[in-house]
Amino acid sequence: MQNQRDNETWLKDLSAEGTQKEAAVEDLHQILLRILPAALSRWLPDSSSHFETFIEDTAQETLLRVLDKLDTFQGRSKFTTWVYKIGVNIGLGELRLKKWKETSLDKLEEGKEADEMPSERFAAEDPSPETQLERKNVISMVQRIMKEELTPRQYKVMMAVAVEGKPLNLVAEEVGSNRNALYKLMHDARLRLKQRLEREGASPIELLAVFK
Amino acid sequence: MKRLFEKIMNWIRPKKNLSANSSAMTVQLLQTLAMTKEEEYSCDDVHNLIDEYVEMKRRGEDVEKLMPLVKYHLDMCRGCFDEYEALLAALEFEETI
Repeated sequence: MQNQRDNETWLKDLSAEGTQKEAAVEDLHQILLRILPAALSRWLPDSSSHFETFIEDTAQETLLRVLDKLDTFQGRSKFTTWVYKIGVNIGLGELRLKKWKETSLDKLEEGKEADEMPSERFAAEDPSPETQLERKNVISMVQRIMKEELTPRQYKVMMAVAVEGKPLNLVAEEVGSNRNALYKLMHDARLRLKQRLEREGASPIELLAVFK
Repeated sequence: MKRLFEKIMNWIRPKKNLSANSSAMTVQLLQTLAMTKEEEYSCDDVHNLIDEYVEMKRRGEDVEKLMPLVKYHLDMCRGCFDEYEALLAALEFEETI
């Protein structure tokens, strides 16, 4: 593989002008074309008809971002690992959006419910009437607390991500934000809900026991 | 035409298992709340550290102890966890070529 440069040499070559830079960019491009399929094939099988185009597009976008952010590389990892990190962030971001949109459409056409969560199985078991009532009370309490404690924006994002399981970057796109800002918003929302439960004398662990 | 008819019917059919879904959604939320901590890294914090974290992991270092907040975020955030796994796969493949 063309990965013979050390970190310092990569930075020097990519910051240069003319053929020195062109050669380094082309080497990095070839490395990405070999590495990205291995990194992303779990999410997009290489048998997919779009695979090659997707990898090429992701490699191109990665190169652009790497060149744009070159001065932010701090040398805490190998330069190529830093580049792969950017590549998988771009590639998986695209794949998540694509997959969610396709899955949602398929489910709509087949008349299925939204994605079943792992917790569905035990929560859907046939409980006794007493347990059913307990569960109903917990569900009502959680819904009431969410409505009382959260801002409309926090409520919308929590419902979409933590409850419906939508990818964070898809919700970010829908509400005109970004993944990082939404994670912070959700963290604040989770803390508020947890503190409110504590004030009401309940803890998430205790409430979860009702569903077991 | 038949496909369109099925699509419309799917829209108007009553939804099944609404109470089961409410239970599952509540459980999902409570599990997330149970794991919530006062101090958490954001996605950007973890993105900044994940290349270093994965290299340490590949070297066999105890990353969960050395970078616990990264590990915690990976447990909480599916998107960042996927990126961690993809990066790990990239480095594993790189060693074979």
